Amino acid sequence: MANIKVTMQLDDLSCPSCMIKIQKALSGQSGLSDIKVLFNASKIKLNLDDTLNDVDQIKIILNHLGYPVQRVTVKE
Amino acid sequence: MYAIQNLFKKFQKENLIGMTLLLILAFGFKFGNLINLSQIMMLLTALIGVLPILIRAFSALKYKSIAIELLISIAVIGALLIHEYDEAGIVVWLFAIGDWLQMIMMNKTRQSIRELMDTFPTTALKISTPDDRQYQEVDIDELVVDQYVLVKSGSTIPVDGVVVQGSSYVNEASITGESKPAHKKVLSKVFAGTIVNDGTIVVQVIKIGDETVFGKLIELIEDAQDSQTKEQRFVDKFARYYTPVILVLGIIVALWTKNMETAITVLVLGCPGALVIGVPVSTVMGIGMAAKNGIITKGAANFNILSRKNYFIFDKTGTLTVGEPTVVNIKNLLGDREHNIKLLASVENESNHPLARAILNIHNDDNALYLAQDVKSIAGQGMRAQINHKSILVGNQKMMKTENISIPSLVMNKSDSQVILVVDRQVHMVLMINDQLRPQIKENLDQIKQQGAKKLMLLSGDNQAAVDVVANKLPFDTAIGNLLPADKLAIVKKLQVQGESVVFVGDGINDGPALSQADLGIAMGGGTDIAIDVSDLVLVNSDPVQISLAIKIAHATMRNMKQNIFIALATVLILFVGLFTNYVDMSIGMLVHELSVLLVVINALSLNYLKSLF
Repeated sequence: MANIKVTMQLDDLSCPSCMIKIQKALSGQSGLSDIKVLFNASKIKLNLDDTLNDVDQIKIILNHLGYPVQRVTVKE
Repeated sequence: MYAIQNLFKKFQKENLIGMTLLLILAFGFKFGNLINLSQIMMLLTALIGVLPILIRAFSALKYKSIAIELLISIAVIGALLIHEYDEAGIVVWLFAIGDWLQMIMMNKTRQSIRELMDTFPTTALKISTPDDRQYQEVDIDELVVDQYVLVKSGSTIPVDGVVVQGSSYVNEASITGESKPAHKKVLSKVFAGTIVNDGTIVVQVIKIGDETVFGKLIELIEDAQDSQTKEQRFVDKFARYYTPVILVLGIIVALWTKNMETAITVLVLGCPGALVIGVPVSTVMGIGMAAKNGIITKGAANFNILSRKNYFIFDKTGTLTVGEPTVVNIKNLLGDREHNIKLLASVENESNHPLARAILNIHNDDNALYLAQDVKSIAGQGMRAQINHKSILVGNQKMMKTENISIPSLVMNKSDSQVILVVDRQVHMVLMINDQLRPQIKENLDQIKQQGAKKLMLLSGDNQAAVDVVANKLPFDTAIGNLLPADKLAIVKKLQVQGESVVFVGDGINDGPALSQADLGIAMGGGTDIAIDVSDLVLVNSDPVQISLAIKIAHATMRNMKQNIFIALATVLILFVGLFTNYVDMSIGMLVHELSVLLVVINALSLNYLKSLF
C-alpha cells in the first residue's frame, strides 16, 4: 500500500492565519502531498504515502500546533 | 507546553474575561491616580494575555512558520522591556477579543452549510436480517455495505441503498428537487438525506457517508467554499510574504531609527488579518447562500464566470421542458370517455415507454384495470392486445397506416405526439401528448437576458419543427435542431474560439460533452452522479429560475469580494501612512487592524440580506 487519502476534521478554525500555519507545517513533512486546508469546513485533506509517514504523526503535529483532530477518515 | 496551549484554548473565554476585568481595574486605578497599581494591573493583563500567544508563536516556529503570533509576542515583550505596560496590555487584550469575535463571526458564516448538514442523520437503526425488528441504533460510520437498516416513517434515510422490504412514499426534494413524493417499493433505490413520509422500509446499504449522493453534494460545497478565485490567489501571495517582510522591516526600523516604539508598532501592523480572511468570507457566504437555494457550485471561480457577459446555451428536453411527456389534449370520438381511457391504460400498463407513463397518469388509480391478453408491442408503432374479446390497438399514425385504418384529420401542434385507440378497427380516441415547457420559463429567460447575457441559444437533438415551436414562444436569438451531442460540443468550441464565454445549461446525461467543454456547465437536477461530475453548477430543483438567482448571487459575491480586498488593502495603507506621520501607535494599530477584520466579516455577512432582492 502506498498512497491513501486522508481527511481530518479539526475544531473550528477561526483565525485567518491558521490556514497558512497548518499548510506550512504540513508541507515540511515527508510523504504528504496535495495538502488542502479547508478553512471554512475546518478540514484538512491530503494524500499520504504510508510508507513514509502515518496518520498519528500528523495528528501529533496538528495537536502541537494547537489544532486537535476530532475525526479522521481514510480512503485508499 | 502543548497541554498549556490546549488549556488556554479551552479557557479562552475565561481568560478574556479575566483580562477585561484587569484592564478595567487598571483604568480605574489610573483615574484614581494610583499609577503604580494601574501599571501592575496592566502588566498582569499583558502577561496572561501574551502567554498563549507566545506559546502559539513557538509551536508555529518549530515548523518554520512565521505566524502573526510571533510578531505580536515580540511587540508585546518589546513594549514590556521599554516599560510601556499600557500599550502591551491593551494590545494583547485587543488581540484576544479580536480572536474571540472572529470565532463568533466565522460560526455565523458557516451557519448555512451547517443547517444543510444537520439534515443528514448521524445514526441508523441496524438490523441483522430484513425481518428482524430488534434494531440497534449505531453510528453511520459503523455501517458496512450490504447490511440492513430499518427506516421508520417520518425519519430520514441514512444511506444510499435499495429497498428490500416494505413500501413507502419518499420525499426526495433534497436530492432531486422533485416535491412530489416518489413511491418506493422492493428493489427501488433510495438515497441518504431523503425523508420517508409513511410506512416502514428496510434498506440494504450500498453507499455510506461521503460516498452517498447527498454526501457528495456536501463535499462539493465544502470544497467549493475553499476553492480559489484569481482574486484569492493574488491575496494569498501577498499575505504569504507580508508577515515575514514586516518582521524584517521591524528589525530594520529598530536598527535604523533606534526607536523601539516605532519598531514595535510596525510589528503590530504586520497582521494581514482582513487580507487573509476578506475573500474567503465573501465566497463562503456566496456559496452558502447559493446552496441554501438549491444551487450547488463547484468553485468560487464559477461566480466569476457567471458575472461575465455570456452566451447562454440551452438544451430543450428536460431543460426548457419538464422532460416528462404529458397528455395535453384528449379527443373522444366514439364510446364512453372514461371507458376508453381505461382501455388505453390497461394496454399501456404493460409497457414502459415514456408515452405510456403519460397515459397512465390521466387514468384514475381507483379504477381497476382490465385484464389485457395477448399483449404485443410493435417497435416504433405501438401495442396490440385483446380485452374482453375485443381487439385493441394503441399506437401512432404509422401503425394506423400499416393497419389500413383511416384516422380523422385533427388540428394539432407539430411537436405533439399522437396516440390513437382503436377498438375492433374503429378509432375511439386520439390523445395528443407533449413535453410541457417548464412554468415561467419565458419570464426566466427574459430575466437572464436582462442580467447581461450576450445571446440566448437553443440547441436540441429534436427535429427542427419541434424546436421551432418552442423557440417561437421564447426569447431565443438562435434555435437549432437535429443536433447530436458531438454537434453541440462543436458549437460550444467554435464560440470559445471566437473568444466568447459560454454557459451551457443541460440535463447532465446526454449533454455531458458540451457541459464540460463550456466555460460553465449548469446541470438541471442533481441526484445523478453524472450530472454532478460533468457540470460546474448543479440546480437541485431543476428550476430555471435558479439560473437568474445564481447570476444575482454571483454578481453580489464578486462585488462583495472586491469590496473586502479594497478594505483590507486600504487598512494596510492607512496604517502605514499613519505610522510614518506618527498618528498610529501600537494600540491604535491593533485596534484598526481588528476593526478591519470585523468590517470584512460584517460586509460578507451582509450578503445574507441579499434575499430582499429576490
